[in-house]
Amino acid sequence: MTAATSRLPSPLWLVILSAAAVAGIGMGLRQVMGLYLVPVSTDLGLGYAVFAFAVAIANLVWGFAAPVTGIVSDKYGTGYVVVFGAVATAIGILLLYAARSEAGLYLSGVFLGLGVAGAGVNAVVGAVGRAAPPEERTSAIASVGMGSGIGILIALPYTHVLIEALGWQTSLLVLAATAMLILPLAIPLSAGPAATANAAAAPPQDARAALAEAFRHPSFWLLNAGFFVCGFHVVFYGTHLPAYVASQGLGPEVAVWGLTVVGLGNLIGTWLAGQWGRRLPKRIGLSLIYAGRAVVFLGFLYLPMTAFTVIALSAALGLLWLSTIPLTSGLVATFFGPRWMTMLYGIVFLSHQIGSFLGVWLGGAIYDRLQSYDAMWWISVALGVFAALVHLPIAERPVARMAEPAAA
Amino acid sequence: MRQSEHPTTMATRSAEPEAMPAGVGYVVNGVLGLLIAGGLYLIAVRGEALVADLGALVALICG
Repeated sequence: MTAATSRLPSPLWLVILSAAAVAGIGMGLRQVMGLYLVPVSTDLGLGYAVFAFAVAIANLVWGFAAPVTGIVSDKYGTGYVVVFGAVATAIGILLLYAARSEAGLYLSGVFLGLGVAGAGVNAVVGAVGRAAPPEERTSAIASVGMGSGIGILIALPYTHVLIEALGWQTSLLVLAATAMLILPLAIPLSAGPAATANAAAAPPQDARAALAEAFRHPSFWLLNAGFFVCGFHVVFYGTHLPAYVASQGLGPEVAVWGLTVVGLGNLIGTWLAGQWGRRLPKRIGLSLIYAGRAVVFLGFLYLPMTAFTVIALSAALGLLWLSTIPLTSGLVATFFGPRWMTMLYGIVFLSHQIGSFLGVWLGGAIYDRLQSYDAMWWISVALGVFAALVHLPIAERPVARMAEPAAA
Repeated sequence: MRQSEHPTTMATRSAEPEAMPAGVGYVVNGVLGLLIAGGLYLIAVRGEALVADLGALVALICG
């Protein structure tokens, strides 16, 4: 394997379709681990905290591994990373299947985190970003986001049926086999970095120089700050909605439909964001998304909480859910070009994961102390306003290097 | 492996990306429609059990 590896590029539609399918399977498999908490902990005679810690390990490993898989993806081609992600996911699932101790569960968490870092949405944005012409880049990445959204939406109910029909251990074998479906999808993503729609548009740059350039670029830090808020919002809401609904005296079916309409709204919102990014400033789109989230969270403070309002607010939030991905990753490509896009988006994604961790933890800590989510809604409103504001001064144009001729 | 660039392919792609064949589009949309409809049906009939099973993790996080 050399850094210059390249092969005949696949048609753009096949690259997008493959990347969307990889993201759908990879993100879906990550999503279902929470369903195994009770059966695994009960059968192994371990406390729930052990399994929860393994899930936390997976999320942390995912965040920290994303920039690394990004470097490999950008340097050698996304196909290698996707194969690694599929195999690591299958190993993680099989380790969970075979686990007999705490160490087995933790090791499973490590492999599952590595797996989604290699076969999640973060791993394939660069391949799509490189394959698509600049004017189509955001909408192409939005298609990958929609694939991921579909995977997240349908993985839970199907896996729930699998566990009930086959038992938790056998269902894990089915999931491991599902992870292997990713392998052939790596082929269309195997074109190397030379296979870029505008490959000759900028002078060559190594990973170290790309990192240094990004860290010196103020707009890159603003983007990181905004995506931190995205992680905080979505994981807080996704994790705590059932508990919030219960605290309002509403039935669990309200949380079910609330989360379902978030998933459906996310598909529409991601598509809309992709269309927005084709013509309109991405930073303004992101600013509107975060401002919209702040308004929705205000609704949870000031509207009477009924089943209708929870579901309506969830639908509105769904429109603003992962629609940030195409616009955020599109801005990374706008600043620095697609050459190191996966690596640099991986760094932005790390800040998303840190926000996710804080959102889920702080939600629990505040509810424990105050027996109310009001403070969390206010924090979410404040962060939404903050994120809306920090995107406004972003300089939505290529860095100076991109304007230099390639032969320079 | 040797680096190879395909200027003709690149230029073509950059100008006008090749569209997905209609047959592939129908199959993809059909499969996705079935998967999503099946998922929504399962959520409708078993959603509460699903949330109850996930609730253990939420309860653990929320203390």
